[in-house]
Amino acid sequence: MTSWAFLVPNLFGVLLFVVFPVIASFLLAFTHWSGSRVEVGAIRWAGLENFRDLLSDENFWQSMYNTLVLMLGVPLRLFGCLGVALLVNQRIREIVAYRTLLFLPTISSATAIFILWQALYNPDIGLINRLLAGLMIHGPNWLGDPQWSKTALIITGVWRTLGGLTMLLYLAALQGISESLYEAAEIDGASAWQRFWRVTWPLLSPTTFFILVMGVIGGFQGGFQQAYVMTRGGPAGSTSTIDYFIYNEAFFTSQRMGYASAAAWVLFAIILAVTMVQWRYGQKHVHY
Amino acid sequence: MSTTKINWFGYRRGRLNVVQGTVLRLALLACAAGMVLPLAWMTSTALKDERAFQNDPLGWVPKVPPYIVAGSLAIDHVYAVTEDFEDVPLEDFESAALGLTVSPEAARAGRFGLRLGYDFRAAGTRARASVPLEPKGPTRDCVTLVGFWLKGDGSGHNLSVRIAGRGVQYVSAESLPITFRGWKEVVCFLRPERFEPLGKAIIQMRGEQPEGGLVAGEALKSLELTLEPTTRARQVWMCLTDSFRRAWSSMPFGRFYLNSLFVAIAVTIGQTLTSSLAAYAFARLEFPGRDRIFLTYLATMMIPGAVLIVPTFLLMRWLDWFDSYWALIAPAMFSAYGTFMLRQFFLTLPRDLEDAARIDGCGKLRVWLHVILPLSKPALATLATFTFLGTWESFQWPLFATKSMDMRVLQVGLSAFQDKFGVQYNLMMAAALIVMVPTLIVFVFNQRFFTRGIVLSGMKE
Repeated sequence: MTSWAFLVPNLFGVLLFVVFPVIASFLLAFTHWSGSRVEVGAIRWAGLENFRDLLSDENFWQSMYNTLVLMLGVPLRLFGCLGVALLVNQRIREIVAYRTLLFLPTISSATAIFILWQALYNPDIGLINRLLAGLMIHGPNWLGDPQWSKTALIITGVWRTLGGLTMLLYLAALQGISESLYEAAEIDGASAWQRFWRVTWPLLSPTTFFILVMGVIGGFQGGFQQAYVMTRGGPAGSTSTIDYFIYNEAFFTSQRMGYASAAAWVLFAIILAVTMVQWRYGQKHVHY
Repeated sequence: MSTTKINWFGYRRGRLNVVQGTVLRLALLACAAGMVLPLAWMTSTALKDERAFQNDPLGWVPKVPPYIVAGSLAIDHVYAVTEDFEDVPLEDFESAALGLTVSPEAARAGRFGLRLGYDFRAAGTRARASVPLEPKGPTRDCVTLVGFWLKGDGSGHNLSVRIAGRGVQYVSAESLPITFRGWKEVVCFLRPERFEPLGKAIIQMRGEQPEGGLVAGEALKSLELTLEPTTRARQVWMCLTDSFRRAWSSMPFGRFYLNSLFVAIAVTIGQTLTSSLAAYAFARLEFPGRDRIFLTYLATMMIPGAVLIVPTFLLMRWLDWFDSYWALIAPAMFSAYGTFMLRQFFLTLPRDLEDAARIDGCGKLRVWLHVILPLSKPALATLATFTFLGTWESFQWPLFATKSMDMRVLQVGLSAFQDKFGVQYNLMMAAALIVMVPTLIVFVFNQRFFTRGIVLSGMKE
């Protein structure tokens, strides 16, 4: 019986703050409940109404579309990080300085970075449009124009993570590849290009796969903080992700707790389905 | 889970030829420029004071006003505020005694009430001006603050204030550097106040002998201003740090720091402790239902935060934990992820040591404490580092779980600062740097420690 005692503190917490919320959230998804009246008596049964409303909610579909577009950042980040990892894995003495420098945004407060980029994107006095003006390009109103806002957010996201954890994963994987493989390839007359695509890339595939799966999962449930700090989901809802939509429904606009829970479960279902498809694909195409 | 280690300081040995080396260095420099330019812009903007930012928002080099050895300040429209928040005009300089007839409107338009001229070319000089205070009508209520308008010249010279009255005198605790240019309201608090009026310069006064308490408005007799010279270096320093000082004083960043630190430490200790206990149970102890519970733990790791946050929020309201440290700490303290990570690590430890300890009569708790934990220092350090960083950086939950300024953590406080100061980028960048820089310093000096665990931990982004 004393064995149980070791588990009890953690189990108690997990039951209270994970298992209970999951069950409660599932039940809430079938109810109407306003956050302004939190007592249990104020719950009204809704059946499938929340889910039906979601299907016809333009904001929900727009958020879904935004989330998918913003996820274009996932492959961009992947290749960007791989490029940087290849660069900082080279034979240069001062390389640690570059690694440190590129890692700085990762260790910085995300809020601070987003605030910085909001200022950089200012159409009149921001650094970006000033640099563009130097190239004789008239820069757009980045965060104020629905056509550009998502691009702006993707650029910020890639900049912030370029030398970060993804890059480190690639760097670790690159450091794990044995030099003798390259020497053998070189003796066989493989060019640098061939050595990369025939040796490096296949050996990196487990890492790439891991990054892709995590990136897609993160992409589906992310974007709140960036949208909140930089644009508040605007302009015209063009940067509101599903995540932002859920929190917005639950806490900012109408405080519809049941509706927000329903949306959260739809998101969960999507993530689960997409991840399963990815695993299937991964088992066929990843070389371990 | 990946178990590859990273060698942060290691690089491939060998030589590159000149072309390869040059191309590589150029590419690295381009990357570095992309990182440094935004951060450099941030710093240069934060170094501008209000005037420099308004006049030249685009310039890279913050402009410091010239050093003035001889010049003049002007003051006008002296008033007092009583305990009942009654505004008592004390002096509008319409009196013939000063030989001036200037209204506050005219004063703000460029002419001034009382001139405080100074000439510091001779060593050891200081400038003085005295204003007799004449309350309009009998004022028996106690005065809590005395304010006036001051036309600064950005010279950085230090202004100290003395307010004398019947039976009491107040002296400024610290002098006010005149770093601003143009008219600005200066507020002298006669007792410590919690609120900080926006956009005004503040001087805290100290009551000195004989009684020192507050006195009625009609007892105030004179306002004496003394200007003492500053050095050029100090003037430049005050001007460059102006935005930082204003950002720091217009929001309780100190409190935010303490909140973040306290919450992060509490969560880290709690999570490491409960996770390692549970992980030990899962890895080594036998009890019915163990594997089924462990599978449930694994399953919970897939659930997105958006599913959990609404019921957790409601739970906080029911427990009456909303807007308290409990709300910030408790839900983050129990982690299935940490348990999983430590269990995997515990499984790799050799059993012999434990068995030996058990034979020597150690109980399970002592085995956990004296055998398992010492052997798992790297894993525990990794978990603790990432729990700390994750909590330090957490934004969403603290945003929804707290409401009052006193309970805000650093990240949320910074976002509240943004709501307040919007496009005053000099202040915004200064505040962002205040939040960013300490973490960066800790990182730069402990890179090995940070990066060692990253790959091991499987990471979340």
